[in-house]
Amino acid sequence: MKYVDVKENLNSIISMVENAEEYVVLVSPYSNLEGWDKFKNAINKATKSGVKVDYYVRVGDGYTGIEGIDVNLFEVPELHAKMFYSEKDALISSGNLANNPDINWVCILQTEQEKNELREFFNNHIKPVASKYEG
Amino acid sequence: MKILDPLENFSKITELIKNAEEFVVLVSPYTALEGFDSLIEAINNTTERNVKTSYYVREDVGIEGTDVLNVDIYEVPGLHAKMFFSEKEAIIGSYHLKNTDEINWGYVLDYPEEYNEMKDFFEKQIKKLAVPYKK
Repeated sequence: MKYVDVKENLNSIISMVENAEEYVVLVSPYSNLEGWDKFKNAINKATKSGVKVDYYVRVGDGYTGIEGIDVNLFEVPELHAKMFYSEKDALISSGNLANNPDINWVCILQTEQEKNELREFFNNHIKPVASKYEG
Repeated sequence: MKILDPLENFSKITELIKNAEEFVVLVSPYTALEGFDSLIEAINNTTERNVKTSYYVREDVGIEGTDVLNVDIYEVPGLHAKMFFSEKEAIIGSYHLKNTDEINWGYVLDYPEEYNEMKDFFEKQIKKLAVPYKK
């Protein structure tokens, strides 16, 4: 595990999306992507190229703030965890995908064991209680 | 680092506090400890054990819920990071010290390099901006 330089927090997530070839999972209970065009473009480019992008938000008001991205959107009750991963890379963060000046850290998971533990957490605690957001 | 069973997210923090001999740092932007009696007791007992406990909350809005604590409280503008450490151990999480049913992960940092990186983040991004809260 390695802490990302705070100035590179968003870029580290963008790189993960850009490197993905199969799928991307974005878990962000709340979102505010306004002003993050580079991030939105990376997501849309991934989707267009055939990468499956699933985006998990909190049931209720979590689906606001993500206008302009082409993803499969899911809602999860009481979601507060934040994690972002593909078939290759994985990151955890104290922060949502929100364009604000809050103090947050982002960590890159470096070992396969760390990545597998994160995916297992997602599969055990988030995916089973997620439902497709139909708008 | 190792992911925690979510059922142990808070009991591990209680253990960390009880094991501390020199200092405890708790970074929780928001607080709601009602029902977490053992955690409250562990935090407040540090004072009697001559363990210095510093508790960091988000400026203006984070003070609520901390009235049950008898430790030094600091306010930090824009704080949204969460981390809990002593001179011996560290846990990072997606959760505040709040008694809720939210879905959150926690990680124990079990390598010295991870501990040092986390502490470096704390020193540079949080401690520098912290202001003691005066009741």
